Amino acid sequence: MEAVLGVLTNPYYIQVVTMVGISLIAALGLHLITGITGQFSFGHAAFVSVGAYASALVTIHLHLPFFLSMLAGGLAAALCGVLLGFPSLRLTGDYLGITTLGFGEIVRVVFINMKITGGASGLIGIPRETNIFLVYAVVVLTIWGMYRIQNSRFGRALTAIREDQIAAETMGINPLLYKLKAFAIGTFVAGISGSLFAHMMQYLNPADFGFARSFEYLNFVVLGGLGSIPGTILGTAILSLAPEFLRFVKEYRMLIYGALMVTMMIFRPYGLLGGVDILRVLRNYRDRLKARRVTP
Amino acid sequence: MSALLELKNITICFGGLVAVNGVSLEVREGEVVALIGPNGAGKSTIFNVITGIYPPTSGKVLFRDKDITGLKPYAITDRGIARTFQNIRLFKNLSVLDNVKIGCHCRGRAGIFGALSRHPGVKTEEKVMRDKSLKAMDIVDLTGKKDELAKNLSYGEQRRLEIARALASEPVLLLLDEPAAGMNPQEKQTLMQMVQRIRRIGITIFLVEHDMKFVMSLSDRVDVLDYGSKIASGSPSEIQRDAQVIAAYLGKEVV
Repeated sequence: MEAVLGVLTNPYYIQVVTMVGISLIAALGLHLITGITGQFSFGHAAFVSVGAYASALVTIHLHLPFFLSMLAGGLAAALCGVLLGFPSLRLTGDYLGITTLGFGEIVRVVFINMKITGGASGLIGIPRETNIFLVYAVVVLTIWGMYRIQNSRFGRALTAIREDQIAAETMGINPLLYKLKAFAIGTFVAGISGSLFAHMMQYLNPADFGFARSFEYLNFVVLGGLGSIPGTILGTAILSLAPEFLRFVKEYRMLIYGALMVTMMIFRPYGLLGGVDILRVLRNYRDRLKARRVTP
Repeated sequence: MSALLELKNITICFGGLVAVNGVSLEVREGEVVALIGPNGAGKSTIFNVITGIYPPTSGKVLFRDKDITGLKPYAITDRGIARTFQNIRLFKNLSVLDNVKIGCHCRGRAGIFGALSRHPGVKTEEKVMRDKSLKAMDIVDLTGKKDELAKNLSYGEQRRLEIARALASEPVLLLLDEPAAGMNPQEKQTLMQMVQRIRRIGITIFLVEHDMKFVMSLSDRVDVLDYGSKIASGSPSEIQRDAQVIAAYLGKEVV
């Protein structure tokens, strides 16, 4: 009992689990953009960083309550998302990917060179406002929101764009407008995740939000299973916890992490839960149970 | 009867290639009109111009006496023109019902806040959409397959699903691009009955088709294209006797 309690209150574990939650919020934002709407974004970490810096600066300079600076972080990221999305969402596939990749690098370089963000040495003096309960409350809220969006007229329009943009357009869907809306929501959520991150680490450095981080988010969503909320959760949990649990193998850590990803792609090319509709599986299972009860 | 859809002198060039050359034609309300012609005559191109996939190089498209030339596809659907595609374009990984529900899109209003709040108005709208979708699926006999994924349907069913999806947008004019392509005689027979059924609802039909039996028994009027130009127009029996049409399909005698 004491051992269990020890693990539960171990600050290191709490920190790790909180970080998983924060990453998950951002990953859910990318899930809407890439998994549901089918638009590849290689610059998701940049939106997280915009949210992180914006909320941190609002807290430091305006002394607003954390709730408001979190909102400010989300809105700042969404604004960047819309400004980037408006010209670039006309592009598709690889081209959009390259544009977002470029945007991610620009944001990083801007933060390195701005005085107000503390430049390359980073931004310090952010008060600690984030805790595990707040993070998971936001996680639950985000999952709930994504679930509702997916199962609505709006969400169906987004999936239609992913499946076949030309057909979607002839069904009366304005693809640019809907992609832009998806981008705005996805980047807003990324900004919220950034705010939580800033107010947990109490320190921000542009190096934390580079291309590698963007790619990690994409891994969470793709390896979990594109278009699946449970997949995104599972992908984020496994891929963010693996490097922590692999610490005991020391220098082989990233090697095993890489091997893990390759294995996952070989055995589940559509992601862990890609193409699996949990509700459908449950429904089939229930029907089978019923059928078995009827036969004898 | 006045013209529901009118093409005036439509010309479309792709680079140096003139795909459609000064074609004028009209579809009147309540008719079934067929557009035929050898491969590459420009039939699908004309459909793509009507539905706004690309704008014509010159000429005008009038729908209910209003100019719709160069409007975006989603705006055209909103005004009451729906279509199917020659190479099936379904939302493959979605259920049959969801495919048809997406067809209802332009008749709904709920947005992001509706999705999140699910207030009573949104719930009613969803219910109305569901009922409308089921009705559209009923017309093409797909109600029993509503939870199936679109990609798991047979070829004939996929073609019918495309029609149901188009019907869900409550069109005034339905464009069918080679609806019978690749179907066996039985499937063609059912399709013909379905087209009749759609016509009885009061929807005007404009179709491109290669199957002559299908075209001749269904349509009130036939327009014939060859090398991008209209070479004939008239009732099915007139078209069957037209010398130019016979030449286009079978070739001319070389003197």
